[in-house]
Amino acid sequence: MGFLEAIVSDIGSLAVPALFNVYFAVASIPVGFVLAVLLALARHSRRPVLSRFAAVYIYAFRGSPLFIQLFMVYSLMLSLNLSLWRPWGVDGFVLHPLFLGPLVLTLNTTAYTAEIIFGALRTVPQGELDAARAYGMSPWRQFRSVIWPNTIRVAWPAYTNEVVFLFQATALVYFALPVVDQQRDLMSKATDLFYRDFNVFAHYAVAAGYFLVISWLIFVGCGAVNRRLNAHVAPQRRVALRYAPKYLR
Amino acid sequence: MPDWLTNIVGSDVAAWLDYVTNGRHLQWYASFGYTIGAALLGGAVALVLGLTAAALRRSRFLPVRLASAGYANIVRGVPDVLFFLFFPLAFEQALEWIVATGACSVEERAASSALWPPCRDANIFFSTTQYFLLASVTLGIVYGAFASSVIHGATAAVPRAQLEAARAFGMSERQVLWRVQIRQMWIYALPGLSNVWMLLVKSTSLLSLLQINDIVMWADRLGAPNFQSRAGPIHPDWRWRYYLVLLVFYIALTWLSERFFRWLRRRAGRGMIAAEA
Amino acid sequence: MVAPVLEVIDLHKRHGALEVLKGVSFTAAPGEVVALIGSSGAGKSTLLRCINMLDVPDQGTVIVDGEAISMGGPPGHRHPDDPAQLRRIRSEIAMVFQSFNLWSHMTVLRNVMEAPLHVQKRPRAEVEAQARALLDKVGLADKADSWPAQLSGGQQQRAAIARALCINPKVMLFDEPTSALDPELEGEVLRVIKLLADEGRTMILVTHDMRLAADVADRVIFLHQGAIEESGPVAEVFANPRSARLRQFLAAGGRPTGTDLASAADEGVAQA
Repeated sequence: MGFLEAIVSDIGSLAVPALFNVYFAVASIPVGFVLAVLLALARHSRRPVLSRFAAVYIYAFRGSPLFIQLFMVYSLMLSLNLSLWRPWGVDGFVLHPLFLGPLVLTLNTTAYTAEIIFGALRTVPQGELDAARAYGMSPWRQFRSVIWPNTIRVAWPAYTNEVVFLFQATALVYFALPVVDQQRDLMSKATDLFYRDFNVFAHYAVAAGYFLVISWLIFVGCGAVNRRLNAHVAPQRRVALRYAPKYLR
Repeated sequence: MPDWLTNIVGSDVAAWLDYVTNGRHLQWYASFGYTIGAALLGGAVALVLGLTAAALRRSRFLPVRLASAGYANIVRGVPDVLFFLFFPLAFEQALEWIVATGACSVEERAASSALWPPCRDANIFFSTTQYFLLASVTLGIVYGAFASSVIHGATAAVPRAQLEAARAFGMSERQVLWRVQIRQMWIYALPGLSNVWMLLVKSTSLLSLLQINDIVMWADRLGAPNFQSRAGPIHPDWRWRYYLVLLVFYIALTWLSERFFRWLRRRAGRGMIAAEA
Repeated sequence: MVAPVLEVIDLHKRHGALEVLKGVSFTAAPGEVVALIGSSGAGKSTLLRCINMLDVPDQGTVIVDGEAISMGGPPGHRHPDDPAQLRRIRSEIAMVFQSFNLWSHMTVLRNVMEAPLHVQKRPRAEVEAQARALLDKVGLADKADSWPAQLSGGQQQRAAIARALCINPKVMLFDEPTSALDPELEGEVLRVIKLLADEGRTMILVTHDMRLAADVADRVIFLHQGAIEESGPVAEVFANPRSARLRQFLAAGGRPTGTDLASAADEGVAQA
């Protein structure tokens, strides 16, 4: 089989595995985003208990490798199997990679995203906040009307990087978690194919191509959002979005 | 465990000390050296590659510039784990292919039923040290791409007025580059390089995927349910405890790295950035 | 005598060791325009920000239209203790800031409509009609859908004044409304402020600009080092200042240097 044929056949056989990576990302990013906003607000809070808890969480999850986090959570869940999951009859679900993967990815992206949002929260112009307070806005109203729109605009480029990074991090899931019923993601499938014919260049190149293309699509989508968020900003002060995955993490 | 120590700490603690100092644990502790060594070596390679690629990106020749930019963007655009698996395998196959051109006759190739290597003589087995070096270089290649972007950006961040001032005093372009631009570049590059280093440190957790008996592999072995034929079960599944130790290790490493980079930045930025509290 | 619409009683405020306000009291009658003047650091802006509790006074009372802002906490460390009441009172006091502080992510029209809609909870149709009318009044009818960043400083400040007017305020607070503007843009803002004064709005105006004070104010309060040094009807105070410090301040064009003030203090000519 020639190299080109191998590539074409790999594009076909890696299409379904790519959906697993997409699934892991889609299942963890929205939840992680909501949790991250709450965590960032806790970190920004004036209450020392909340702020300290958030800081420790963020530091622990940003300071340790996702790979170890995956192992750690999986083995912890396994050790609770006999006492909790099996008696409750949920072991098949709780220990399934399609549940555990997004769980750990969510815990992980929550920390990184919270750090990004926390940084952006601190850039909200004090004058605009003063105006919101002076006109009698409640704390929630201040958040809705002034704090959030400013925060999300500043945070968006870094968050775009985080989304791309998280998508790429989904490649790690099946190195730590067991493969069930031939459900494989890009990396797992590419490695599987490699051990059949040792054609390292075709399989990994196609897998890399999938990652590049999907990362690029994410980037284009986020770029469109970024233009909307910056519509009101004078051109010279706009936050530019450049394709630079992972650089900021 | 010596008796005098047992008398001091009591038998329970002594049993624990006994457990955590047994031979397999000592091997585990030793494997932390691999991790740190690979990080340092990989970091050095990354820095050299990063500087080189950044310099090539300013080359006068378009193909050189494109190659440098391609290296930075492609490596960064795919997951690090993909490259970790790909590069050592590709390197090994390339070596085997070169060896095969000399070692394998046409008959041998035809007779070989395996898809790879071409013939048995061309099969290469790396030693532990070679795998370690290969892994470190792989780390260096991946994060060299990141470092090159950081350095490229930092070089551009040096204020043009500084360079003009140097030219005004008659420095040659080479002098301007080395005496002013690169000196000042470090201050702009350090935060980014610190980020890259943190990524690199964390990705050393992937060493086990590169055939190295690293801390992760040992944690998995030591934590697995443990039986001895005479003594019966020693412990049930303790893996999460061992992984917890690794988590703490990495957090501590991050913390130390942060302090180091803060110190470095203060030193490098003397006179240029206000002292931080 | 009519009941005052704003009453400030014995405000004290310190920032660390620095005593910014040392017991300031004054009132403003309905329709009255009060100008607060004094050198930088005299406490004018702090006093203004204490009226709507953007800065919380350590001691003292603020009464708006007969209702005191409820304060709790031990004496010397008091703070507003009824958030709902404070929000309601704040929505009756409009503030115009030195640096405009328009919400940069909202169009001009939305800036004007935001507080009436979401704080006062008035019907959208009514608010929009009023907002457009007010923008017309300050000369920005064609800028309703622009972003703040697309406007000049003078236009931004006029938009901020429209925003202030749209809450139908009982009192308007102006914090140096023209000092962030280029001289050629001051005029358009000054005209709007003058228009409002002529309409009979109650305004407290912190300013460096003695011309503006003389033009629009009914009464002038001269603050010096956190206390009221002199106050009275504008014609009287400007024509015939009693305290040496005010004389010096006015002679220096209203922007005395620190040394001028220090020498005035050294002479010990302060009057009770």
